[in-house]
Amino acid sequence: MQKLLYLPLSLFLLSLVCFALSRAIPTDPVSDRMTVEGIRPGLNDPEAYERTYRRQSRRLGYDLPVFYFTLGNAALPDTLHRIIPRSRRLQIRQLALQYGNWPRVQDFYKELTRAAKSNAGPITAAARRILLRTDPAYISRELDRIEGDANAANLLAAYRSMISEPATQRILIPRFTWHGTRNQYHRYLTGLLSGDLGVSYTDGRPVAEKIAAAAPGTAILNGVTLFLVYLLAVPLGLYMANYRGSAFDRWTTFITFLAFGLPAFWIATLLANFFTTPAFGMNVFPSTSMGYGFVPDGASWLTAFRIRAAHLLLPVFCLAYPSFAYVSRHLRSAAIEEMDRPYVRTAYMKGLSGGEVLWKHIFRNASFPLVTLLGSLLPGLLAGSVLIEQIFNLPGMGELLYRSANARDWPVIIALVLINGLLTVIGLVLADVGYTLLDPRVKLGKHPPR
Amino acid sequence: MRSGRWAYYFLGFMLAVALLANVLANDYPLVSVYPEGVYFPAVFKSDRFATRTLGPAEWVLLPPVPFDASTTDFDQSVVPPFETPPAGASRHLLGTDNFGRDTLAGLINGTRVAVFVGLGSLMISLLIGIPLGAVAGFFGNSGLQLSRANRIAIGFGSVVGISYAVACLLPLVGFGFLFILMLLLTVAVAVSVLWMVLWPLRRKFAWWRQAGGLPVDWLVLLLLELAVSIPGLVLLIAILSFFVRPPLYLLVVIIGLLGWTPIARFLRAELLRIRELPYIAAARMGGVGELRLLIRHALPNATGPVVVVASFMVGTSILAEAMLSFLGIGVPADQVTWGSLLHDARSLPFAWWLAVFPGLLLTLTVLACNSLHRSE
Repeated sequence: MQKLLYLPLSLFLLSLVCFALSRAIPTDPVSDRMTVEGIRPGLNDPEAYERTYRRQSRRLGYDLPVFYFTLGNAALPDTLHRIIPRSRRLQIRQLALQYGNWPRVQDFYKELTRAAKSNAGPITAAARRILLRTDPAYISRELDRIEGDANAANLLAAYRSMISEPATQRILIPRFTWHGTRNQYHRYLTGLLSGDLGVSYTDGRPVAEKIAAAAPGTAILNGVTLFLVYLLAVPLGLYMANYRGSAFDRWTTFITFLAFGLPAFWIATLLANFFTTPAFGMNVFPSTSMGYGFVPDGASWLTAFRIRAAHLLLPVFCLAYPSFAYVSRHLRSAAIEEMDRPYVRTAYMKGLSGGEVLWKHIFRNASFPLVTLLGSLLPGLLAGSVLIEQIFNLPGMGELLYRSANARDWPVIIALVLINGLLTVIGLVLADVGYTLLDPRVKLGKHPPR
Repeated sequence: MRSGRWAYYFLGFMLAVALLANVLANDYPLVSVYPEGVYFPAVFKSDRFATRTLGPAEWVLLPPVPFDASTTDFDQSVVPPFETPPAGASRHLLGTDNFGRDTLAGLINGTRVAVFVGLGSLMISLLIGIPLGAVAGFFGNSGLQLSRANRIAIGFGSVVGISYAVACLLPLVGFGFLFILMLLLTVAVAVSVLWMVLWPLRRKFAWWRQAGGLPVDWLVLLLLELAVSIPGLVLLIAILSFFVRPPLYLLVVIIGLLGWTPIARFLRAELLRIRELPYIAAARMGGVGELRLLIRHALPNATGPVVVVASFMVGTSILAEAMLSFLGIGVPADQVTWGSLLHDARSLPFAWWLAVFPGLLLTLTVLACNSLHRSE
């Protein structure tokens, strides 16, 4: 059962990774979301923009603490998360760490924002410049420039009291704050559990909807591939083991070794260039510009099948051959190990034919690697689809990942990472469960008997 | 083929090409002789500026491929291989792409990138994988026998030390060598303080003195199990898409960080076997300390499987880099690599030389790495 105990931990880690990714995106999530939803308060009215910004970030939960607890130090206030634009928060954090005296830093910052909003010529300009930088030398230089100005008296006083009473030693005092369930991670997790993956930044559609639209293509591609791999690799692996040492075995071993080393995306590029474009007059397969092919209305199922098959043949081949080589080699070595067992000799001595022994006795016992491989093939195929779908221009999850990565559509990318991780975990658990189904001697989580 | 010796030769050749890339393919001459002196512009950057002001040289020795990978020449774009060049121009041996960049120079630069990615990420993986795998395999769950007080001091002390370092010292000094030094120091201090605090308890109560193993193997296995659920290539694409112009070393670091698990797993399995061997027991009888036993006696014997896995991983990282630059993610756009040549081939289907040569090199490299794996 030990492996199943890791399951919740793996899922927790996966959710943490995706959450961390979603908070580490290089653009401002709130303003991105506002752009997508078409909320555009006039940019020439900064106050209205800021009000809307605050409302939006409260709605999306970006004013909450990040995690269940914060591990910080006494120089930083425990309400730092309430300062919303991330750039501003990081800047205040920087100031607080430089001077250590939070109330003074807060006063200075209030004065600074007030000056930036006011309409007082050089003071406003200086305050706006300071708001973009944190290094002390720059701030003092800018403030020196407006030294004599009467309107700047408050600002200058706040600045002087901030730098005159530094309390940097407070950084060394640790502080632990517990926030409870009202935090961003909790919100993210509950959102995930209710199927809310966010909104795509490119077209404003829900991410779940986009992925659901892309999933069938990838599912068909990978389903057909997986089916063909097992259909062909199982007999090949078994016969390679049965005729081990023969010329057939040596050649197939060499070919599978070669196939495992040939990068699928190179073969796909070659096949796509040579056989789907008219460049060399060998375009026996339809152009990749059609994706899965276009089936006209009212076409018979045979025509539909022919069109689909012509479009799917090359991508399925490119996706399948590495896994095919991998599976047949593993099955070969597992079957060879079984063939030296006494029960095989017994079966032969009972008078069973070679085929019966091979398929009924050896195959069942040698099929453990097939189950584990199924667990690891699933996510591997999905990752491989990124390239194959891109080369053959097939709409699917891999192609969606590629497009989103180029369009910097973070919510979609992160959701795809999450789904791929989930599939990996599910594949591993299924492989574990498959063991117990195949061999009742195996208890869940224990290794199969050698 | 069978002996796998060609793989060593091939990989050695690739390494040599990567190291000599500047000399093999360069815009600048290898040697230019002036009345004022002899310069080596292809090797030394300072000589390039010097020769630029001096004008034409008396005589020059050009590199074997007289082009830089990123030099464009629109008069000679999409030239097929082995074509005779127009008068006065140098021959593009393996053709050019649609910007007139020389394919052979691109292949040489691609070799350099591949070797850098393969070996660089391997170094990082080894740096993480070897200590974890070695400690887990050699000591197991019962190899480090400590009293309960000491186990609690170590466990609790490291948590407290790491938390303190992250909460207070990280903002103070920023991430870097100094921080790592301070982190280790904080952990050491926290463990020692706890050890001293628990000292009287240890003397008074037997419960605190009860010996038991430090569960290092359990911890490493937990890490390995958890790392399995992280999707490699997809996560790589996601992280790299966060950067506008990701530098090459970022790719190396991420591939390296994601790749420590096979090394730790194989080393652990190998050391589990080795620690039961009689010569270890004999050395232990002879009074060799546990740490010395691990480093001087057990680890050297476990290098075989690690070398095999490592060579396999070099192949996978090179393949991952090629895939990413084929997709145009993660590798700087001005770097010509095997993957980016294949990417260009996709838009120029008739330019077979752009598709065949880089793919061939990639395949041979991956096969060479895999057959080291097989020949053991």
